[in-house]
Amino acid sequence: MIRKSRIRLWTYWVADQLGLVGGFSVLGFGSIMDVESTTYEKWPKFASVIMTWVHSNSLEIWIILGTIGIVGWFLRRRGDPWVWEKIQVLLDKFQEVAYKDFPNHIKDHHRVTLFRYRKWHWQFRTPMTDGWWPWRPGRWPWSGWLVPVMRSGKTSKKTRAIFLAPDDGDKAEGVAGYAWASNTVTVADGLPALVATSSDARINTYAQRTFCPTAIVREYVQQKRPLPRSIGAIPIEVNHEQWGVLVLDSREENGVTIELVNNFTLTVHAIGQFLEKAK
Amino acid sequence: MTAPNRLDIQADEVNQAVDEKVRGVTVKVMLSPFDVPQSASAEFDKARRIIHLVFDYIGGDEPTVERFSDRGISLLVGKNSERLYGLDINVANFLPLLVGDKNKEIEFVINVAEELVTKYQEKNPQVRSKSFEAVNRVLKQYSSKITPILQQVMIGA
Repeated sequence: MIRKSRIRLWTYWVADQLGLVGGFSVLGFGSIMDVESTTYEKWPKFASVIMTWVHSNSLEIWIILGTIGIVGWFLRRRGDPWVWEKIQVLLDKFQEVAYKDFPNHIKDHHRVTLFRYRKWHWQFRTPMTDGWWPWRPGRWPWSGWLVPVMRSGKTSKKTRAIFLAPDDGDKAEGVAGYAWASNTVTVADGLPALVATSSDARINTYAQRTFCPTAIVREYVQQKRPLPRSIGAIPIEVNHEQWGVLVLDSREENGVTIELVNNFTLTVHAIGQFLEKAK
Repeated sequence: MTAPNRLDIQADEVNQAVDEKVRGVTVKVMLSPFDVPQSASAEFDKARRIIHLVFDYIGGDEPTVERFSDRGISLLVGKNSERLYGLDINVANFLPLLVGDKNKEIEFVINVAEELVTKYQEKNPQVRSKSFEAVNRVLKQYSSKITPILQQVMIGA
């Protein structure tokens, strides 16, 4: 998950500077390489020595400039941290307004999480693994996954929840996966409350109603991790293409309603606009 | 081109939640907000003698391609999103009809457009965008408001 960090701000600033320095250097270096030795030999001694040195080490200089470019690209690959900060603000506000009916609840009980679609995603430990081999047919790293990138609030940022979102939409998992596959806003509310002693039938009902494999729900229950009782998912588009899904979940059975989701069209649009710059 | 005539569309009027049975369970489903037109406008292209009925979405514009054409109406579909951005209505195909009760005839044009959109949807079930469904709802629910807009642009025809 992307979090606010000084290191990210600093690396992005460095990448910016590298881009600036690298760009000017390539321009300057290119121009210098065009100057013939017969020309610069007539220049003052100091300039002539530098030009000779540059010409005789041109390969190394090109390699250094190329490396600067690659490092700059690498450091900038996750986009401008300012944009992610703003998206975090939007998610926090979204959470605050969407769940205003539960003012005294712990914020973590009502969350807003942004999931991004990734064709490839490596995750070695999931409830579906059998201990020594992390994947199985239809659940490969290249099967297509919805991966969490940002969550409202300050807690529960270490989620490992991912949802299968394969080309075959019938096999998409989770309310998020279904919303992704059908490209619709989807809400499942009134979900049964699960505790460690819940029966298999109850766990199965929950799994079925949330389009999740029973094994995943069971592991959550066994680990005494609370599960939401209402979930809503809204598809997010960036540059007119599906990018991911915004998921609202609440521990209240009527915490997420279709009316609530419907009221946040503009917020969803704004998130999509910011994401255009975030990569 | 004549000045565009615009109609605002209330998202909650065309995008209402429905209970849908999915894999044996019921969930509440609504069209993606990106697939629901916010407004519709019409312009008349005098040179080509075509009426453009254009739909705007929250995601903004994108380049379109003509995907399907029948009975003088073409569908303009977004290159990336495959969203329905507009209908090009060839006036020549409908002009002979537009001499009597113009209201009725424009209703006829809207009905043809509706049929065409449905046909395209049925022929292309793999298209992810549900905007066709939304546009059809707009054509049905807003036909009485679209009619005067089309009438106005067709004055020049």
